[in-house]
Amino acid sequence: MESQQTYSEDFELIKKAKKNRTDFGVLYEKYFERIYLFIFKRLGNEDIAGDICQTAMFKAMMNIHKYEDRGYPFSTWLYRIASNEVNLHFRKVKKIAEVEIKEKDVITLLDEINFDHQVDTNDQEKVIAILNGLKPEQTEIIELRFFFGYSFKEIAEFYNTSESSAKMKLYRLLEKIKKTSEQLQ
Amino acid sequence: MRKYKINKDQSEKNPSKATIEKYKDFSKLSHEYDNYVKRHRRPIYKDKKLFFLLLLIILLAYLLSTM
Repeated sequence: MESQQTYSEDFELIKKAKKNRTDFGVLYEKYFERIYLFIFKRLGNEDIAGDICQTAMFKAMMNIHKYEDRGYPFSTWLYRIASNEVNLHFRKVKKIAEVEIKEKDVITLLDEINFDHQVDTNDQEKVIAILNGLKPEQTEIIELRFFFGYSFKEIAEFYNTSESSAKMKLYRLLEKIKKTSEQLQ
Repeated sequence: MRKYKINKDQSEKNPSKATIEKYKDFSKLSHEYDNYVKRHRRPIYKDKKLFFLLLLIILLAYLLSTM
């Protein structure tokens, strides 16, 4: 999570960018890499990640006047725009994009699902198959929590909601995955 | 469509700094922004105030020329 120092520094930069769009360049330089990596992790393709990152930054520049400081880091707003662009991309593109996820992240996800039996590699494959069948908007919260290592506070900021709502949203989805997986047994 | 695949070798394959720099281009973004703003600027005839101002100027010019 970013420090208070970053908020106040960004506050000035945002104010400047709202008055003069060319001043958005400072924010662009500051956040491009982070946003690019966020998109890349969700897509797994460097070129497409580059294009989507530019589109997300363009939309942020266009809509900077609508940005309101609600005490969350500015980056959360950018991540949300980037994530929407990624979801839009998945909806538009018919070709299947392969996204790699670390085995240890899948194990953490399986631990959190809390199966009633001893989990094995078969469960891993099953959960991945279930995730592949979900919409990008649904898997987004799982990606944030297990593949990006977001805390519930960060997830709540991302969705502009409370921590308890974020937890409820995630655990409902995990319960759904658990049920679907057990039906596949 | 997206398909997850488990990466068992644990190493993270992130793009290098140089690769990311290749995609970073604020001047291109700024240019696109300028083009977008220019393209979506409201024409004078669609702006009521400006339209009537223009009409008034033309009328005044016409009246002055006939006097």
